[in-house]
Amino acid sequence: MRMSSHLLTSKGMRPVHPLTKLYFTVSTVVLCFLLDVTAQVFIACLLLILCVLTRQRRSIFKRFLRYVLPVVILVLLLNVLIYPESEKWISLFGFRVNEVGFHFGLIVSLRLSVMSLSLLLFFVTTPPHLLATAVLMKGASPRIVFVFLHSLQLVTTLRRKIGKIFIAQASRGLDVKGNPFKRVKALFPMLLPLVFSYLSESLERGLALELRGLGIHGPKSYLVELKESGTERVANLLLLLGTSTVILWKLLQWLIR
Amino acid sequence: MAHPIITVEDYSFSYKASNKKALDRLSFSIDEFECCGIIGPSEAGKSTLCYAITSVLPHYFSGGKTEGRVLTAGLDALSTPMDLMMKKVGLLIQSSGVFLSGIKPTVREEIAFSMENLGISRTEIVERIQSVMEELGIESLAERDPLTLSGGEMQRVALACVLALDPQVLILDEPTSSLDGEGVRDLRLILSKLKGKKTILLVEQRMELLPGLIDSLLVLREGKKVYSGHAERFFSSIGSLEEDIGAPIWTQVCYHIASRGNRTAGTLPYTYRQALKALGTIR
Repeated sequence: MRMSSHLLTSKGMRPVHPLTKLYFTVSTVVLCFLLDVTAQVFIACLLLILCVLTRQRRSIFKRFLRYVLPVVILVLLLNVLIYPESEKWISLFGFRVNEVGFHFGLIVSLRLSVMSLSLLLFFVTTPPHLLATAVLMKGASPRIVFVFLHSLQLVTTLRRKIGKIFIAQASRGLDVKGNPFKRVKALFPMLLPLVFSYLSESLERGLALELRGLGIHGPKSYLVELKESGTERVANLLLLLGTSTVILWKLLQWLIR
Repeated sequence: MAHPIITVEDYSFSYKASNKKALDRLSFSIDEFECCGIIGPSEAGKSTLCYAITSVLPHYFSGGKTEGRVLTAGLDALSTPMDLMMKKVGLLIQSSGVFLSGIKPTVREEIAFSMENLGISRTEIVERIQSVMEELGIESLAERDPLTLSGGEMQRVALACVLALDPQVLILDEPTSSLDGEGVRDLRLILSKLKGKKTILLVEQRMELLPGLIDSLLVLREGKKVYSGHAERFFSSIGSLEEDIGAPIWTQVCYHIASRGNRTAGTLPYTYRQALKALGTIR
């Protein structure tokens, strides 16, 4: 099978089992909220190395720069400028900034960056169908998995449909080009057909999936077999144990305090 | 001697929250390896009948009122679980794009989907995919993303998904609705190859597809049976046109030419060749 050989030969994150990647992502997100700055910096460095190693590094960094970085900068600026109850000021690049706000902003920005990078790394390197197969092989409900997958594809599907409806409406004389105001105005008449067509399609797709045996109980087989290696199993266990230990430790600290 | 593979006895069905019967006291039977066309105007109950035969009705449209009996490949379609029935009967719904799962990245994996759900072994899945792709001539599409295919290609892939389960009965609900002329010709060719190997039920609005392909015809109107029997006999009679059920375009042309010239149309042509011959005599 092309998919399985592709999995074996590709460089970077692809050969890693989707569930290992999922455990790793969940762990990094949880840990970046619980651990101190040093640990967060360590996780960030680890994520950066992994991102560089993947074949999809360009896509990850492009998305990070386009969507995450502006938010991170905004969070930092807001904290520097309007952090309450602080009288300590420092000079930074010739500007007088609130020291506590700057430090707090840095921590929040770092946390946000780690979380986003981890999620980007996971979603960019893990094809949804492989994740679905991995989860199904672990015994997850096929119906829930399919609802999740179709939700992931909702944006793509709607964008495709909007494109088609735009052309249809334009051919009927509706002005859909021009300034953003005009475009938003043109969006309203197409909302109803969009929602209705999506609903009717969902009903049909539900029927089709039933006809194709999605709801059947009993053992399933898989064309693309995803096998966890021994190392991956150990890694999963370590991630689970490590994250649980940190959660328990933090919970204990909070209770004692 | 052929024996019936589908038997519908006095079957009625009305959907939940609807007083109108979608199927009304329907009785007919279809023999094994027969190719039967099902025609009728909108809301005639054609799709509902397909769902009844494939045991979708009691399982997917619960709460509906059912009377009578439907036997498909020796199984009671009203009580047999869908997983058992789908090994015997394959139904291809109208919109082939929707029929595809939408989450499989390649055609090969898309075809495997139903077999995976049934727990068929990986080796057998691989063999069946190869065989069905060769049969339908879609080997070149194996690694393509199903969602990027054209209407005709999607239709073939959807058909491959159904055929991969090797059902005894193949039901196609308006398979040409989204196809262009070439797609229709291709589908006709595929169905001609399958004819005699499987029992085929073909719900169709394009009457031109039917002559030469179907053996028998079932005509429905408002859930009731209007005609059941030999296809040529139905289309050759003026009754089919007078009842406004529809007929191949050449049959309609011959009928109108004959009636305009105040000539009795007699037996109307059913196939294209018969029409050419008939037009020659009218001239």
